[in-house]
Amino acid sequence: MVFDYSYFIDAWTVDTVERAMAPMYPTWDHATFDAYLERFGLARKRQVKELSRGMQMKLMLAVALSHDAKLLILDEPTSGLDVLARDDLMDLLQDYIADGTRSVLFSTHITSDLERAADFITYITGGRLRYTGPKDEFTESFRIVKGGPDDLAAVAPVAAGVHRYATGFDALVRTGDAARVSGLDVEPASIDDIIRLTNAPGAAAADGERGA
Amino acid sequence: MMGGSPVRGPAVAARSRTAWKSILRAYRMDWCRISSPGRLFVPSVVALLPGFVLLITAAGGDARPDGGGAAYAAVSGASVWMYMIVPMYAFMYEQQNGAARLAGLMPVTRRRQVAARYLLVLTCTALVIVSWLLAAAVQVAFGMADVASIPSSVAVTAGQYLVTQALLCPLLYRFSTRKALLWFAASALIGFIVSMGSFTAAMRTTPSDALGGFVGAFNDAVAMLAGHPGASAAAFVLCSLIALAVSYRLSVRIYEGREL
Repeated sequence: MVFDYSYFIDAWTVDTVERAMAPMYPTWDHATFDAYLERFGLARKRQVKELSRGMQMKLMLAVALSHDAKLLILDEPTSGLDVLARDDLMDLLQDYIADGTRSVLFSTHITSDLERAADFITYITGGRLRYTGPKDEFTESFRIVKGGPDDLAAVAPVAAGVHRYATGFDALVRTGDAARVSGLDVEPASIDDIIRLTNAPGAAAADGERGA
Repeated sequence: MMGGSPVRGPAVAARSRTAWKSILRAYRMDWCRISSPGRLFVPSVVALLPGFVLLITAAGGDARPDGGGAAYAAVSGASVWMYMIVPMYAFMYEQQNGAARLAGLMPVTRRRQVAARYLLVLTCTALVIVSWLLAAAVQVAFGMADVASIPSSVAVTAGQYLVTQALLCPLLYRFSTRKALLWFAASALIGFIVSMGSFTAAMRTTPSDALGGFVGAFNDAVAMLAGHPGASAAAFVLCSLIALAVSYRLSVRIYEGREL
């Protein structure tokens, strides 16, 4: 598992982290850990407290990836990371699952990470499970309808969520209902759009629950 | 039911081996925690008492009117305090920042993590014995101590250490390090006040002949213990181990119910 902040003792060096963690896992691979340290630029003599937040995240990742785990669980792995570090991490996760025998489960508020890397999504909001299933199905099941203030009446009955502006609105509709809204701009919905509009004030309860 | 001793099945033996491996994993993690101040931390604690005893003795401490007793007592006290801190480091570092999550991540059950922590306490007890023996060796070498008194004094020291840890560990599982020490100190103070108060009240309210009988019985008990120092020390250590076993059960209960 990898959390959003380090769980290693600050006074430990990277070397001590390996000495502490390696005995936990019979499948620990020293060479793999070494390779990740080199890839991430982590010197063995550096203490955990001397590492930046991104480097601490990479250290947790190096430990998590060095014992042939079949499932990697990450809690907000990219929050607080800069764009380059986030990119690096996503590349790493994609390499990790490339052989098809491993999986990654991560929680995030950064929807661009989902767009880029996720195959399956579970969407939870307000303490309720709203959707769980393939990412592409999630995005394909909605459309964004844009129009002026006078067009809202035609869309409102079928809208799952509406965001009003002074000059018009964005409405989220199910793909099947998009055909009922003629003469207005209909665009594909991104994950961001779906989350934004299903949480807009007065959004209709989504019926997107389905089994995993 | 057939007579004879029960034979442990291979499944039971395998479970025991697995349990031991788990406990040793957690024990190694704890050792890494207590070595966080540096690899020489534990060896320096072991060397502290014999080192200072050598220093005092070599500096002519035995030539003082009290035979250097005050200096030795101060050093012994400081050394006991250092040994009390050693297992506490495992708790302290576990409570630091997000380090508690590591306890939840380890592939070791909570019960076995507690068992490993108590194994660490037993290890520290062994180190206390090593330290005291080294100090005693220094004193014997300088003609300051009688060899015959060493085993019972080492045993009593080890027993005292075990009892202290038996009281401290459940508090450290229940509270933060700071709060646990406050509770420990408060309990010791209240215990002292209550026992002194009870003793004083008993002295004032008990008729003198009954009191004389009690004091006589007490003196007889002390004389009996003093007459058999080895057996008394062994009994004390046995009681300390029982206290540690009870403490372990309590710690398991506290830790298994805790949110990490």
